[in-house]
Amino acid sequence: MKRILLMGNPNVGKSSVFARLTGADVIASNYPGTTVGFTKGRMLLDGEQVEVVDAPGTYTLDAGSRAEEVAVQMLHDCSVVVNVIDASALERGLPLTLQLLKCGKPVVTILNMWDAAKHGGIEIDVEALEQRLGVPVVPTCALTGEGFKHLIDRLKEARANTIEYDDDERWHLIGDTIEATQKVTHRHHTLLEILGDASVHPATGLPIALVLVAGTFTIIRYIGEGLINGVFDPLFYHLWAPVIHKISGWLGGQGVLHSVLIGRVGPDGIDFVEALGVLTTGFYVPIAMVLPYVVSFYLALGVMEDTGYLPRLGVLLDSLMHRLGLHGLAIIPMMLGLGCNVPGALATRLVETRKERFICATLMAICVPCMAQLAIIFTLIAHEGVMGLGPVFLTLILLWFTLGMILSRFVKGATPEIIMEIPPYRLPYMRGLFKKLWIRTRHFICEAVPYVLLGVLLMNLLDTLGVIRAIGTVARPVVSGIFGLPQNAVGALVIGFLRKDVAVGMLGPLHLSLRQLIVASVVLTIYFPCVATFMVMFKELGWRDLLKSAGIMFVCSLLVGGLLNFVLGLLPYYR
Amino acid sequence: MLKTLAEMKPGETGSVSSVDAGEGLIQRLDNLGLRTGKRVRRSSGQWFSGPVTVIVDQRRIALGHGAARKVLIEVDE
Repeated sequence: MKRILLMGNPNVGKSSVFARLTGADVIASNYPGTTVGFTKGRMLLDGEQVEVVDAPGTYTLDAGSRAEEVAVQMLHDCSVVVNVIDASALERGLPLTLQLLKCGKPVVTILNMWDAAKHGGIEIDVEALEQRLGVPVVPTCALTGEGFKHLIDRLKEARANTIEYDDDERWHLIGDTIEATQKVTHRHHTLLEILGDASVHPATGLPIALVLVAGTFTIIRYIGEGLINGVFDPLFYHLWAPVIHKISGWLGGQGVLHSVLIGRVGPDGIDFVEALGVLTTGFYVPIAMVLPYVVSFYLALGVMEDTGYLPRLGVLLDSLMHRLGLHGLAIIPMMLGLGCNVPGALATRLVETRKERFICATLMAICVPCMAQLAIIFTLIAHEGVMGLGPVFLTLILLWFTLGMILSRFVKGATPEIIMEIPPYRLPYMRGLFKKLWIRTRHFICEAVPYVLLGVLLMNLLDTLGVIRAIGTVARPVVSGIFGLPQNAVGALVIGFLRKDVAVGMLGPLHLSLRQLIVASVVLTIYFPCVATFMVMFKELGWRDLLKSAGIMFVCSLLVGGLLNFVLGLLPYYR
Repeated sequence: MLKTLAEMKPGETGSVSSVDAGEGLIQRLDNLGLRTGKRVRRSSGQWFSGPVTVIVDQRRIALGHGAARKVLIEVDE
């Protein structure tokens, strides 16, 4: 089968081009390094199935990094290369184009983000460029789909054109080409550029960041709560509850099957949080409690990604992150981790050295609660306001700093300086934004809901078989002695390894005091990530580093949980 | 006047006179358009010696102080 390889610099829109060609759902964002592995898809070209491969961004074919080595390998196995260039950064794209031509593969070059370049006062003479390169050149805009019909027509015309040149002459050649094909007209600063200056400037950047982050979380909570109160709670209590009562009736209102499927039914109807049955709590937790927050979080994250704000936050926090042995870009895995730790752990590939990746993955797994867990923490504690949520977040943030500084000192290896392009601000393209939101939401529904159901089922089984009680007796010195929690809270710690949201939800029926809720929420965040995150960390770090990381998690949860319980015990408010 | 990129003041412009660094760093800066002869404008400072940001080819680049000290700029009068 023919294979088309997409190659180009980082952040030129390869993933959007890929999505356009194949119709596949891929995540595209406005920062370099969104695609860390290869994505494969298929398209029909003249009635023939063709494989399309989306490669991570590279600047050269000189084997500098592992990503580039893999890219060169992929290059040998493809039949056509679609070379994606950001039309507003032609000069930066051409070195790779020349190298591709030197390889002798058939090439089609596309000038993507054509509209943005035009808007920026950059004019490129496409025909002249085509003549110089000797391969088809097509202007496109992957977001709107402009130019893609033309691109598909011209894919057949892809041809090899070996331009002979010495590496020393490369810049002359590129300089000449630019001179002959590109005109840049002067223009005034746009509002977005002024904003761009302000958001990395020291005096204005930090206040802007604080307002943005605080505002974002307020919006996330507002939308999340709105969806719960306005949509999901009515659905469950008015439509689903009668069905449950019917089923409960059929099952005779008691017995093992009843307690597994339905759980406890109180005298004044069903409480979906506390029932703990597969059909009740099992569906209510992921759909009515977590999903609304996941949707609103990913909407906010999508806006931050597509506008290009995230890399700026990275630049702004760079020197702070260096104290934790990381550089600024490591803020991206942390932010993704807030949605779900799995993509967070995958995004640690953005940082370069083994030391950075270890610190980044460990800090994320320990200190960054995922949205599923946060949603349940909100439900349990938010009504206590700052006095409830404050200690939880303060503890996690303090731990993030302290642990980062300790790890930075003791983990061997180097933390290289940041060297990156800050992508220009772009207005998010609505259809792209909502498509990304849909991909992530669908992923949550397909991946998380079965695990939650499994979690609730397992919890019921372990409870019925007396396993949780047995573990509780063994773990009592830690759970009650150190954390100050009732013995049966150990069930949450066991289930938390499978799903964090179910685990936090299990705390509900225990009717804990505020102090116990705070300690339990923090310990459940720190002690271990869920099994899905664990698997990704294993792949990314290897078993040796994973074991070290797990050891750190264990020690941290004991120390921090115990200390927090002790400190809260000193404060009259929490007694 | 010759200055390193790190010493440039916000708003100053100039052209890159040389990059005194190892092969790897030269290559990485080159990829981002920062090479001998290019026009640059220092855009903003940072608190706590954060990265230096410069504008090359209308694009904004952030680089650490160590790297910025290795880029020599002939600053415009």
